[in-house]
Amino acid sequence: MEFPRILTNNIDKPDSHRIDVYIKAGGYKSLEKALKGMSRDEVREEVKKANIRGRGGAGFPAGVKWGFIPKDSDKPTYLCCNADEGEPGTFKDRLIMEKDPHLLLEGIALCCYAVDSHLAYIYIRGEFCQQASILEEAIEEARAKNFIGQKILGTDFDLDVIVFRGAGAYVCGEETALIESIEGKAGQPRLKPPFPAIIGLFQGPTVINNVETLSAIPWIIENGGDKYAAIGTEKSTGTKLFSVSGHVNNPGVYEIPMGYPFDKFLAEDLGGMKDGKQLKAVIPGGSSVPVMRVEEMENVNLDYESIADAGSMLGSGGMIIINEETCMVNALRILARFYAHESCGQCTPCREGTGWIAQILERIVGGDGKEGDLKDLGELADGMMGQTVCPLSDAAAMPVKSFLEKYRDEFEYFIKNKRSMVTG
Amino acid sequence: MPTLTIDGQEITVEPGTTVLKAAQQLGIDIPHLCYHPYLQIAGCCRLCLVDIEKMGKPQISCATIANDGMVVRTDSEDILRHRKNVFEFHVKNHPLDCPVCDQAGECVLQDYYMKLGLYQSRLQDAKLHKPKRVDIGCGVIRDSERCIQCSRCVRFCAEVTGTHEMVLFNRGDHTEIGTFPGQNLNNDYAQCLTDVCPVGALTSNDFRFQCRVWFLQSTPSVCPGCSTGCNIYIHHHQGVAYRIKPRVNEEVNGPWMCDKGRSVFKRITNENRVKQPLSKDRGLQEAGIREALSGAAAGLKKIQEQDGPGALVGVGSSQATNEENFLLRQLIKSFGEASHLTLDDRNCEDTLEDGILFRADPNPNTHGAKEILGAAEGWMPFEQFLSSVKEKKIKAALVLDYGLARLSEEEVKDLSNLEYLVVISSMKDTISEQADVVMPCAVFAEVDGTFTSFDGRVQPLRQAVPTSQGVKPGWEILCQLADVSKITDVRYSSARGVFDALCREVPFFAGKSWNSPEILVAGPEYIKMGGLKPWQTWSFR
Repeated sequence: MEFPRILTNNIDKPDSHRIDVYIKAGGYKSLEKALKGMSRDEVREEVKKANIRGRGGAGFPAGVKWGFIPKDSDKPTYLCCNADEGEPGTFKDRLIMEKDPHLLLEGIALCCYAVDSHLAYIYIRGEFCQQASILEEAIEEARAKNFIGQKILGTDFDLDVIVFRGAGAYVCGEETALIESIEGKAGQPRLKPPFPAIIGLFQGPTVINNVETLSAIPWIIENGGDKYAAIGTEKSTGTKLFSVSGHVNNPGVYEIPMGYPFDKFLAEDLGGMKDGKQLKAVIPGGSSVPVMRVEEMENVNLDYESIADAGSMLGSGGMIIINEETCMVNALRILARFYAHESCGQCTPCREGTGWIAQILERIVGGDGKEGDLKDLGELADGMMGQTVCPLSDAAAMPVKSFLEKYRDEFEYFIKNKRSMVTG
Repeated sequence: MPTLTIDGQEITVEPGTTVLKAAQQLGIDIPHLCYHPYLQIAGCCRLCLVDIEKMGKPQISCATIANDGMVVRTDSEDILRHRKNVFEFHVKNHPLDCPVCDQAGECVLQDYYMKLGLYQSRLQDAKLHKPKRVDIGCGVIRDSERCIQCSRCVRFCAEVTGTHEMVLFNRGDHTEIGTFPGQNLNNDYAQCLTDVCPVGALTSNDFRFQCRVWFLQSTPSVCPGCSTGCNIYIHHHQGVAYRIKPRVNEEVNGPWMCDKGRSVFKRITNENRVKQPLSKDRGLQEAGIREALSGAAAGLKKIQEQDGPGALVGVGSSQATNEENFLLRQLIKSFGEASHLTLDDRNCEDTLEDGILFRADPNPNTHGAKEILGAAEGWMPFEQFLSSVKEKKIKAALVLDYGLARLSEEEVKDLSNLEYLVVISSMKDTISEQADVVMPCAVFAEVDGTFTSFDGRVQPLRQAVPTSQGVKPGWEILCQLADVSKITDVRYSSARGVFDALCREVPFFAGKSWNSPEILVAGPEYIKMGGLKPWQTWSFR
């Protein structure tokens, strides 16, 4: 299937992160086109026509989000590029930041022009030291060529981009916690409403978009929103980066059009299961989405609607492929430990629930599971859903519920026999 | 003005009112932990969830603004289940400290367990352990295990005192409240943290293990620490006062009071209390009451006859009640029209010292005493009184409790110029040492009476604890003195009678009486006060 490499056009070139390589490949032309020939409204219109949905996991249409920014605010508008990439299983944004940072920077500049923002923050997770350096160098390269800074390309558009490093919190990938972190406070999500588009960073209107979302904007502006919408499916337009890890022959980051069949993806692009083992389970979009049994993934296409119909979510596209030799009880224990460690602690159901669930699973895997444990896990997960400040609580509860629902036999075996049904 | 329906009842509220407040106006108490009416909304306990039609998930009522046409249910099966779940999470790591925790009896977790839970714990794993019994300064003790991370203490230190000492450290269920390592609480309102903390995580060192709260009786009064006149409750049991808590008065102190005020109840048991009348004739040792009173009466009468009433001065006190100052005026004036009255009102500015509650004037009744004494015939400004004493123009004085407490050493020495000095005093001090007769009087917690705050607000005190044998309220001593001096028109049987007379005679108090709503202490509720327990009367827990 032929489709344009919107996001991965440059990554295989040597020194792809250098600005001269980027310009040679046609880079920064979209920015020039927008600044010199399009109004802000027109840029927003193209993005709306493209119907590109947020690639961080929530899938909210970016053009609609940009439209929420009030035109008459007395405070400056900000853009925060969410480069926190904390969702377990997700490593797609780092590819762009390492190999094609200028693609991201051009996207940032286009977005800032569209929403009349003159200061953009790239909130990058603290663990990405090398990537932060690469971005800072790229910003300096762009500044030297007047793609960032004062009077960009001779127009009267000013823009500065700041790389802001996080300090190791998954919760700071949540947009309001991200804002709190940039403001120098503990990364604890805010109550919504008010939404960041109205009251965000430093109380000003703020757009927050994922790296991948912003990186698609240059192509959209150059080729037109309807061309982007023509790729993929009607409701899931364009291409998506999938970062695939697990028991496959070719793990890595892949750009595929939305609606690509999963079976084909696994067999051809991913090279099939490693060592010929059987596929057991798939987590399609990062650990926070429900796990899928192998039979549930039959005839599923990789887009928002299709995966949702099958019972899970596209999420961030952090796909984890699990083979028959994996103990699902242990897998859940490892995930639960992550959420317990990452809960910010602000609201009670998440703070105590994640800790409690992790404790129970440790105990089960340690061979000391008790009869009421599975009922407790289910009820605790139910008690955590739908009533917290941010969705981390839901993200922690959904794997618990889906693992218990689909692999209950393994859990029951473990408790009864004090060892794994699969690995012994 | 939006109109909404809560549990089938309609109510119209001011724009901007939250659903929680609207429900409270209907008498529906939605359970909540982190919400406090005088602090910013945190929305983190998740206990106040309600179902609102057309809003998919349950919403927290403390943060949701009431809109016109909203239909709210606080008691649906779903919500009751949510509440139980959220509450279970709150107690998951909470230690079963009730037998040794001061908060027992006024603890929200206990109350809500009875209302929402009443279930067996299903926890099979260990509870987390965190620091306990940590002294964090200003008489506050922290127990991080009991903390439910409601963040009220953090918000209090950020919004009310602006000192930002309390922080939430760490993440997830290892979150702990505390002060920055090496630093302690350092503000004058730290004890308010023990009020806002809904559980026993922040407790008062003074009250630690002193008395179980269900034994405590609660008596409303006014703090005598400064001229703001914060409303308080004195909590006592079997005649002993154990602590002071602020009483909510939106117009005076809100729900707060300063730490200086909290410890004034220690005056009651101060070892310097005068317990019996003292007479110089006996070398300032204890004398019988009749002996002391007749001695005092005789002494004052002698000066009146010898040098005329102009040589006689009544020294009022801005620490004494309106009633006491008024009776002093009556008594002194009945010794003769030329007699004088004075009051030490030096350094009594009404400026807010700390920008919150505490005022520069450390006396609760300067305004009232001034109105009563200043309007009388023979009012003598205090500087004139001091020079008159020096020049021996004044020969005798009758002084109320704390009336001369702020004299300098020099000025105290000058008092020896007086031929006769009668002091009504609660404490032995440099003034009482000079006196010819010392009559032991009650402190604020042992009297009925009224104070007038800096802005002219007349507020009532009620007697909380009995005086020890031989000690009487100041107004009663003055009546006894009048009786012994054969003065017939200073005769009252209760503070109430004195106040009503005072209202008739002093223009400032015209129109008031003991039955006025502001004097009767929140109106008819006071009548029921005797049966209420502390947690029902003082808390915005």
